[in-house]
Amino acid sequence: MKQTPLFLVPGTGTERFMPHRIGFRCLAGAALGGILWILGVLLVKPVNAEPREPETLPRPRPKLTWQASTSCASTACHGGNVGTAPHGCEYTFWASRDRHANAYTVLLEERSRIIERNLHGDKARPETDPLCLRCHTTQGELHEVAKGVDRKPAAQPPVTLLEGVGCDRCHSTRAGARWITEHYSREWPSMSEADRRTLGFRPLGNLVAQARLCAECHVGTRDADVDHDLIAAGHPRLNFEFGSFRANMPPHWDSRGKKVQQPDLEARTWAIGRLVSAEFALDLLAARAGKDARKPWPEFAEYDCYACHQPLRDSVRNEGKRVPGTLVWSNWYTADLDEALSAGRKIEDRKLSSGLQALRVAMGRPEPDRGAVAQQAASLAAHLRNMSAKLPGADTLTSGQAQDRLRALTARPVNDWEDAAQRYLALAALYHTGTDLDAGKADAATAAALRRLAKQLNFAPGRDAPTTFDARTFSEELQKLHRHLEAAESKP
Amino acid sequence: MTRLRPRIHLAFVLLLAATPVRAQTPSAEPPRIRGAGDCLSCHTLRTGNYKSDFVLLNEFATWRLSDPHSLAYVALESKRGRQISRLLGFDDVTRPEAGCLGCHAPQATEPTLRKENAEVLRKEGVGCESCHGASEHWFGNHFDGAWRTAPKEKLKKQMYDVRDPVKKSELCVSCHVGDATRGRVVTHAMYAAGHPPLPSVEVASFAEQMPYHWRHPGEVPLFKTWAGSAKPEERKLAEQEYGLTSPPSSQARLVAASGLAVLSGELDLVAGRCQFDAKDAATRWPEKALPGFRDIAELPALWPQIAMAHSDCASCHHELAHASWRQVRGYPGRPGRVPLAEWPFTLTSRGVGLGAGDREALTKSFQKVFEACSQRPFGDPAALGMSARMAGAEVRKRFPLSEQADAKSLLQSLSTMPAEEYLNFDSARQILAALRSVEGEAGAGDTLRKALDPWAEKLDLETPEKKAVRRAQQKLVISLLQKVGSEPGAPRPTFPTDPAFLDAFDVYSRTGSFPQDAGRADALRRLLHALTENGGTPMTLEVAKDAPARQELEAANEARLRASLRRARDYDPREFRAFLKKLPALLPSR
Repeated sequence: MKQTPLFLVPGTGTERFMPHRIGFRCLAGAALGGILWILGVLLVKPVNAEPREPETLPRPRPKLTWQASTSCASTACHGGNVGTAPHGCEYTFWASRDRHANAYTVLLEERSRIIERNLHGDKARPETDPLCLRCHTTQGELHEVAKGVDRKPAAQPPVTLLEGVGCDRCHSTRAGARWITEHYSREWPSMSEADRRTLGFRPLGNLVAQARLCAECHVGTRDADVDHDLIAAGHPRLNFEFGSFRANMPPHWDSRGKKVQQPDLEARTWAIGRLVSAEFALDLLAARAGKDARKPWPEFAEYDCYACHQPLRDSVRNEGKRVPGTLVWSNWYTADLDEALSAGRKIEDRKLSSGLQALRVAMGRPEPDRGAVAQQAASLAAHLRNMSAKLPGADTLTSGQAQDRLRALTARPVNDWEDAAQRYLALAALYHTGTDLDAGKADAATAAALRRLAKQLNFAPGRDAPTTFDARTFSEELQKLHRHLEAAESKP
Repeated sequence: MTRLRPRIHLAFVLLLAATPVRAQTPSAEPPRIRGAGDCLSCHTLRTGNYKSDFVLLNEFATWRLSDPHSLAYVALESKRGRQISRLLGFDDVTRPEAGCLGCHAPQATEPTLRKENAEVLRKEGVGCESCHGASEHWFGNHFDGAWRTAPKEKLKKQMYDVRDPVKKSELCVSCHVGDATRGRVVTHAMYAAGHPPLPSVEVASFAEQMPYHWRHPGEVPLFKTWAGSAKPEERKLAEQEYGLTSPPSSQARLVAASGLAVLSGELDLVAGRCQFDAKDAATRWPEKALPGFRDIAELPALWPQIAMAHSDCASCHHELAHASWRQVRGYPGRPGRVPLAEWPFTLTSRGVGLGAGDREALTKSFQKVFEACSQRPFGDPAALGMSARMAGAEVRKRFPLSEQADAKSLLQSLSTMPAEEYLNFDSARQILAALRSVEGEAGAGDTLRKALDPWAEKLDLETPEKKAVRRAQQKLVISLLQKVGSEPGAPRPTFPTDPAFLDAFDVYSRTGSFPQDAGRADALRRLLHALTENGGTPMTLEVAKDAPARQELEAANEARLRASLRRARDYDPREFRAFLKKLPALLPSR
């Protein structure tokens, strides 16, 4: 443990074999494309709203301004020396280690130019395209510069763009903020969450709130949609998994306190992340399938990339599983979702399983019915929203339950890489939770098996696809682990 | 032009479908197919009793021993054929609704032909009359001296004109690209269930590989002496036979014709499959018979499945990689949409066979097709159908081939690459095939040939695996002939199958000449005799499916498929682009 880098949360186990070691480039690539909002403060309301303000306000509202993350960077506040990390060093961490700080500058790179050219022609510029700025900067899509894809960028773009995804993207609501002058006041600690919110502060103490924040960009929304057109143009595919992203961020917070309250933090993070991500994915599906004629349909980003993107082979895999040559709805966001929801708490949710099954059938049609898919996806997303809200308050897992879930998850074979990657991430989270709850559950053989599973998920150099992955081999390794866990359980 | 007009008309009549053939029939009854059994007695053993510049008289032997067309039906009974059938949910892939027989047994399925011996005709696969026309009305005449007459006269009796480069190409295209109105469609489900990808088709090199069982004009002795010693009556005969008044630039015209034919075939296929109100749904859309889709009355709901059949395979089926050349290159339309198969456009969009001004008009009509494809994922069927139909008609307008179709200008067109162009595997293959087909005629010399040769294998044009398949087929047929002794109780004949003998057979097949070696020549004669005696038996390949020779053939076919797919996967468009950039320097100066 002595070599643990500071950006990994000591004691969370995230540094042990969390998925940054998986290293699949799409996870990394997607992280690069990410967003959190700047701490630069957006004071008050849009100018055009002013006439409607009640005249009883005690003082004139400050003018709308943008402030850079440097507003938070004072040494005495969040720009401390890394030696005292993470508390007081949030800005320092972000600026020096967090790729969110580079989110804007990647737009200036050749790769982004190619993407923009493929989508909108030679004159288009990613650094002025509102679609790009929406996720690659702090509220950049609202910025003066974001007027069109082929606009000439300002000679000197504002710092709030240049800094990428800064403090405000995550810590303020999207309406803007004026809490910077309040949050170090004496009243602040006793202020209610609702009051803080009226000042534009976005509370992130709750894992669900955090996951929702990340999902806005890393899963996507109607207006921040990394669809197949964008991916084909060159943008990395998004495949978000909250637990591993959070562990790799690197975090500028300290989870140790939280872990005392909730020792099953790892599993809880995993479960909440899966539910929230699925909710966002389904809402996005509803938006894609909905009436917006500008949205392509069928939307290929909804399908398993590697079902089509594989070289032609002389043999048939997955014989008999579906009509040959049909598109396969991706299960990145839905694989093992029942397990995530229950996470050992024996929550059975008929609505989830039947709703997913219906969607799978609908999405398996050659031309899925837009209206029906939109309606089913939206209703299932709403259901997941309700379910995930319950998870932060759920009982803590016992180490026995964590072991049970490990055995249950290793008993199921996987169908494809997406299945397998999600399975591994689930197993890793549950294994860590088991050992966090009961250090006696640490087991070198299990850890080694997990590492072997992770290794199978790696992409070959230069490839952006699991060209060497074989679901059968992966499932066999799972089976072996399952037998090992069963044997360990039956020992006195 | 006046001379050409009626021929163009006939080209339409003849080649777009079999239906017009019926319209030409004098009697009300459709013509009857007789089967290859009636051809083999004359077209197997070239005896020298009948000499002709225009016909080799060994055609049946070539077809039976070397040409995979004779195994078209047998392929359905292979392990792979049975697998496809199983995965598509058919208990028997030879059932008509499976949609295989249109290409794999066309003689047994053409609705406009009379079949009295359907079982045998089916087992012939792609037999003589699949390409030459049902012979009922011409069989009796065609060995008459009076039969040496113009193609349009022969067509009146249903003998197709397979010498005209356009018509010949269209015949090949009707299966090798497809024809929706005749149920000749390889659906995406068939591919996914194991049907090998349809390779790009440039007819001259395609025929070379087939191998062809005719002489192309460049090989006809008369044409070699045309300018010098040829007699007027000989020239007249050539004019009747080939419709040519000057020595033809044969390969170049064929290459140009096939470029136009594959493209119009592709566009017609797409247009036909977009026309959802057509009455012959089961013929045009074999997808309708897929499990789970039987209840779907609405074809639009099947559109993505339908569209995938004519989409560009490699657009989706490639490994995702960093620094993707597709992304660096950019897209003609919206990124992430599925374009039509690219290779049928390759030759024509480079101006092969086109006259001045043609290219611009065609490019405009293609643009509409690409836009319709790009409008939404898989394209908008209504817009695509309309634009494909119009583009197809534009292409067909160029069928009376432009005089540009000579070998030298063709070489020029082919080696002029737009600087930033990347070609996918099949398009590169199309270019290379065309280059190889005309370089000899253009007198381009050794340097060019040597530069082209290494690519022939890389692009899966001429490969050891293909040769191995041919050898396996020859050995299978020979092994069958050894089993069917001429008389009961008589010792069974044995024939050599060593490489030298099979090489000698290939020479005979190409030229009609027998080997120098007396023993080998004798063995070849005996083999050909046995073939004429027992032609019917090996024709249907009635042999246990686990017979070793048959297993070897299947294994050779599988190895060939694996090798083709491997080559397509390993192909690097950057490398081919660099190669093409060097080409102009290798061309003969004009």
